[in-house]
Amino acid sequence: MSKEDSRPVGVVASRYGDNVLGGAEAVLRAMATRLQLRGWPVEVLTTTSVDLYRPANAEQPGTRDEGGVTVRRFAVVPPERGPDLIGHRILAGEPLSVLEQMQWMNTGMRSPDFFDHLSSHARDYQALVCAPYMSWLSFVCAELAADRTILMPCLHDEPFARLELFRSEFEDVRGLWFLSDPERDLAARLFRLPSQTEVVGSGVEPPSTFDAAGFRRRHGLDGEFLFYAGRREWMKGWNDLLDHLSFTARRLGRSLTLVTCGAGAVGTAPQGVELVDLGFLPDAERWNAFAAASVSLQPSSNESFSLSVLESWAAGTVVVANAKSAVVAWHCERSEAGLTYRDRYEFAACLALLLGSADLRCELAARGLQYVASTYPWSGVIDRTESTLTEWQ
Amino acid sequence: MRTLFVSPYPPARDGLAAYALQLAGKLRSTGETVDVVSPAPSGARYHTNFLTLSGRLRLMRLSRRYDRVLVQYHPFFFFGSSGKLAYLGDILGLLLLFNSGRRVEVYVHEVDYAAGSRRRLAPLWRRVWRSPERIYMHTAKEHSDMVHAFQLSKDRVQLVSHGDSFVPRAELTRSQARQTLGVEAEAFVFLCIGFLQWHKGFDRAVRAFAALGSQPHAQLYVVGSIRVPAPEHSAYVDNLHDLIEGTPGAHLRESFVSDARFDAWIVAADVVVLPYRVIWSSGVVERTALLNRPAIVTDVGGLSHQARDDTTLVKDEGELIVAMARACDAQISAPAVDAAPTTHAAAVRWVADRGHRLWLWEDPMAGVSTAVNLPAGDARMIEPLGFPLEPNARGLKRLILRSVGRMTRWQLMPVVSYVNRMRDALLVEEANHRAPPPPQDEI
Repeated sequence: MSKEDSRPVGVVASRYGDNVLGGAEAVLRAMATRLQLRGWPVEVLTTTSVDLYRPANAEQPGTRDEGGVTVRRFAVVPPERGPDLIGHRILAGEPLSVLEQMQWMNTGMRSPDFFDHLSSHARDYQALVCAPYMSWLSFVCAELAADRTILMPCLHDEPFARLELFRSEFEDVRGLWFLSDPERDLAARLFRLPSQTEVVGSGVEPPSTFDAAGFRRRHGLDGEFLFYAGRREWMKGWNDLLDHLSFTARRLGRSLTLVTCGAGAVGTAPQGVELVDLGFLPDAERWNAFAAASVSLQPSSNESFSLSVLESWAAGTVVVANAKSAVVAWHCERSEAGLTYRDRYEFAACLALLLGSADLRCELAARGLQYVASTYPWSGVIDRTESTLTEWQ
Repeated sequence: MRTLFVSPYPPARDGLAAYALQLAGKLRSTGETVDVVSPAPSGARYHTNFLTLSGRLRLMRLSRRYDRVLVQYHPFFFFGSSGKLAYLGDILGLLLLFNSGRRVEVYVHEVDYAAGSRRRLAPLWRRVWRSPERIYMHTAKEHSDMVHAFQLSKDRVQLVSHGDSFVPRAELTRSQARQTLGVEAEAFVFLCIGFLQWHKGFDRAVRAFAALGSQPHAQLYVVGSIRVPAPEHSAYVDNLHDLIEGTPGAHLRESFVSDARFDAWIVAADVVVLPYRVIWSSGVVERTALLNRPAIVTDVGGLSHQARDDTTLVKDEGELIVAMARACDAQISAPAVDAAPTTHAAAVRWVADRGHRLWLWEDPMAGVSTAVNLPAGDARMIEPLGFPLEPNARGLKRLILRSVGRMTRWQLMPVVSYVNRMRDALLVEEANHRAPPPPQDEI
């Protein structure tokens, strides 16, 4: 693979665009743009869907320039899983037959047009970079063009990762890009990895200044508040977070304000918790939110990188995170900039400590800022992706 | 030309889907517009259930929009229920499909030739198979069987090579493939690959490999997975596990193999061994040829017509042992193959030995501890739970009972399914605890 090769590097994302949520999608988008700036021919292969929860043909199919990158969009067929009985059985750890696994995979969001395109044109790309491993598009890349597929799995420890179905995605592709060491360790425990793997990580690029006061003013917030940015869903620990906050409020004998942005229904605020849902926030305002918060929360145990933790630190805010996420615990331990909890009691203890000591918050946040600046600049990430693109055969 | 392809399609993983993808690619490369309708969601543009009335009507509507309809026929996808009426409905559905398009051509992968001679339905079946403009078969034997079974004109049935549109899915050298798969670089590798089911006969290869004795550099890999979960398949694979565990140099890699990995295994092998008990024609034989690996195959179905110069056809276990021994330059003892007895005692032993081996060779479930082999009175006597039969009543009473039955059926479905799964689990568990068959000496 080389920059001189006229064939593009295909960057395959289920959704693509400014308003698209999802860590994998954000990393792919940033990589596509930056690889192109470094002189690589890049073409984004994506769908017409932009909404994670309600996949539909929101954009027009076809090829166009989006922000300087060639983007080829394919129409999608929405999921046909109904109540998703198979998905529930997977989560329950029930063994499934090969046919059932295939049925589950092929009844999620899919794009026959993308399949047709790839079955005829896979050789027109020097590489296909895709993420995450559970995406139908990634699955198709590994099935149709394993020899040129570079998978960025965004893997975390979950029942889906143990499906036989995904073995070929991890074992037969040209190479794997991981976002962190714990992610690679987990993959090595679950699969027989190919010889070509690299922890490329992801970059964090904060704005030069933050407008924390303006953020508070615009959203009518005064006093301390906790912040969570991400999907408000069970798999991301949302329900536990509300439960833990309510418990903590009772223990501390005061109400807590949780400001949140992202997708998914927030539900009803539990006793002692004031819930402020800002919905989808543009990038700049989200950075301001991180900067304005007293403590940033990461309740998810299903993280492969946790961009929001790094963004919190980059904005100078301390983090309290779920210790069950190996990668987040790893970040917190390495940086000495975050506290982790294993249950509601430790969660309450974390908040009691941090909300009671502005000095400690500042000290930890400063370490976090240094950790992000030294470890995750985009330049280093793109250096590593470029060298693997050049070296991997 | 606009062509509609009626077929299972990837990313569903099975031989027919892989065949369809490659054929569609070949047609597209000649400028044809090819759309696919598959029986389940897939990478195909359309999908519809081939077994329901609404699905069949949709197939018919789609067919009319295209200049040509190509159907990949395998009974698994067009026949669902074993009930007589449903079976008749399935045949009529096929007749509808074969008559609905402008130009219908059918690739036949497996077919029940006996249907052409069954008294009642033979005329209907003949009509079904006379409907398509073209029928494609993969071997001369299948061609001949098809023509005779359904009294078809020879011109209507054409012969196409099974691997006509096959393309390699892995670009690896043998050593790269072995490294990738964790196979010893210097070993002489026999490979059995495909779905793990009794009719593939991989147990035959394991027994033949065991008869080669200790060949330090020979290894046998059995690779594949169960396609359709069923107690008899699980029991067969359990038995294969036991067999392989007791055979030094034999390995079972039970996994769901992607197309790329499938080819990597073939490239990694020195000889592919396919001792099928039943087959019509084989896509694996074609992939083996495509990737230039010799094969040892049993002489069943149309395999003799697929054979190349480097294919060895075998008829029984003795021939299989000899073929495998020759392939890896192994010395085998005469009794392992065929030593004629010279004394009475030797003859008695010879008969017992040959009888046992023939049993293992012929009986697909020989040595397998399954519910099928349980004596009467055991758990197998618990019949699978089904839905209540249609009421034995007339007139209004029948109408009411039927209506109530249909309205409440959905509530029973999970219960029936759950009870049957428990029954299956019980049968497998019971089979696993049964004593193994007596050793050879005691027979």
